Amino acid sequence: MMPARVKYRRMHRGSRAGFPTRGATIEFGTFGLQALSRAWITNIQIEAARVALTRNMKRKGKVWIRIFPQQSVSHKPLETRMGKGKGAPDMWVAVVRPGNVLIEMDGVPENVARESFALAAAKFPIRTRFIGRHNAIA
Amino acid sequence: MAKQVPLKAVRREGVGRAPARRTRASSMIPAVVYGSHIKPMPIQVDEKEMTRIFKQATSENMLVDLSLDEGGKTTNRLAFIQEIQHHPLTDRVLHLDFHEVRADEKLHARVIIVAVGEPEGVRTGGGVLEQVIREIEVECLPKDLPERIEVDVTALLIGGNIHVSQVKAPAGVTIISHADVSVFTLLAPKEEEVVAAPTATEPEMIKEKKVEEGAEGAPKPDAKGGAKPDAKAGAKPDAKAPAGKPDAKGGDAKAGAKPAAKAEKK
Repeated sequence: MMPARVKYRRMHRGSRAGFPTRGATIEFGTFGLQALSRAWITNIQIEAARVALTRNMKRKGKVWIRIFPQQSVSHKPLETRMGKGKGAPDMWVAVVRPGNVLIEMDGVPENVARESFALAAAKFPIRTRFIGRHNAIA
Repeated sequence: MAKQVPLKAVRREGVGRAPARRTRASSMIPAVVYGSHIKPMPIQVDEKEMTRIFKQATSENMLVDLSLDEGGKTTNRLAFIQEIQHHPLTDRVLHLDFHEVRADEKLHARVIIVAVGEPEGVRTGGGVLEQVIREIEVECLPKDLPERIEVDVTALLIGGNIHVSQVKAPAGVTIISHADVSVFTLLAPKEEEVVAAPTATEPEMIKEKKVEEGAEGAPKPDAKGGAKPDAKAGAKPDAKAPAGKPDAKGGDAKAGAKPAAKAEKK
């Protein structure tokens, strides 16, 4: 996963501070996996979580990945002296803040959703929790 | 029908971020009550009481019998919870919007749609029931406002749809959402997932293309505007202008040279 077209390959690091103003509620599915801490989640981690999730669901249900790696992270080659410009893009990351819904799911029973989300959560470098639509009230 | 719950509210003096934070620190929830018959009024409600009400509720659609204390004078107002703002992480209620309604006036509200039963296509064909929209807009009197609308999906086959027009509204409720919108769809079971190999290792650049295009076009105006006129002015005044090219430059040069020569002769 990475953007199809970008204006600049090398980006500033941006800010991960604060809480999300969008993307913190379940919008499409019935169950969701919510982030409890902040992190840069790489495209590889997102893909690994998706594979773990869909394998456990055995082609049932529907999944929505709610985060996308829009931010590039550059890296200087090893044993390189400082200077000579910014390094080449190394990976793409999604900026995740506490409260962001990472993945949503629908069309499966709650026990299957919980099990699948547990497998997917193990691929992310953050603490997460399982949420349902009913959480929206209280 | 939606519950009608009694709730005490007090008029709030300060408005804005800091007073709202102070209100929350004192275990109250900042709120506002508005409607077509009253001016918007900032109020506050008890957080414990509100949490208890929400725990007992099955839907956010509820009518509240607001007992509003306006500096010693208490008035009762029937209100509908229009909006609830939650903290993104803790789910704590941050703010409430109460929409004052009259018992004899119809109101517009969004009501949750719930599927009832297991579709035929799921039982026999292994399909996946997808709910396209979760809420539906209705018009009704406050006493008729439903907490949720249940839709029977047992007869749904793979590839089938249930549209808004097929949803049966309870008595006294009119559905005003567009009739053609699909509410439930039964999708066919997925084929074995074929993950396409990533073709591009790097995203396409938007700017580089433009620079290349600009680079081709850019030198031309400079060459015309800078070098050629000078060269023409310096070297070609005596030479005849090539056919098809404007004679203006050559003409100017000649026109400029001849009077000067005449002046010298005089």
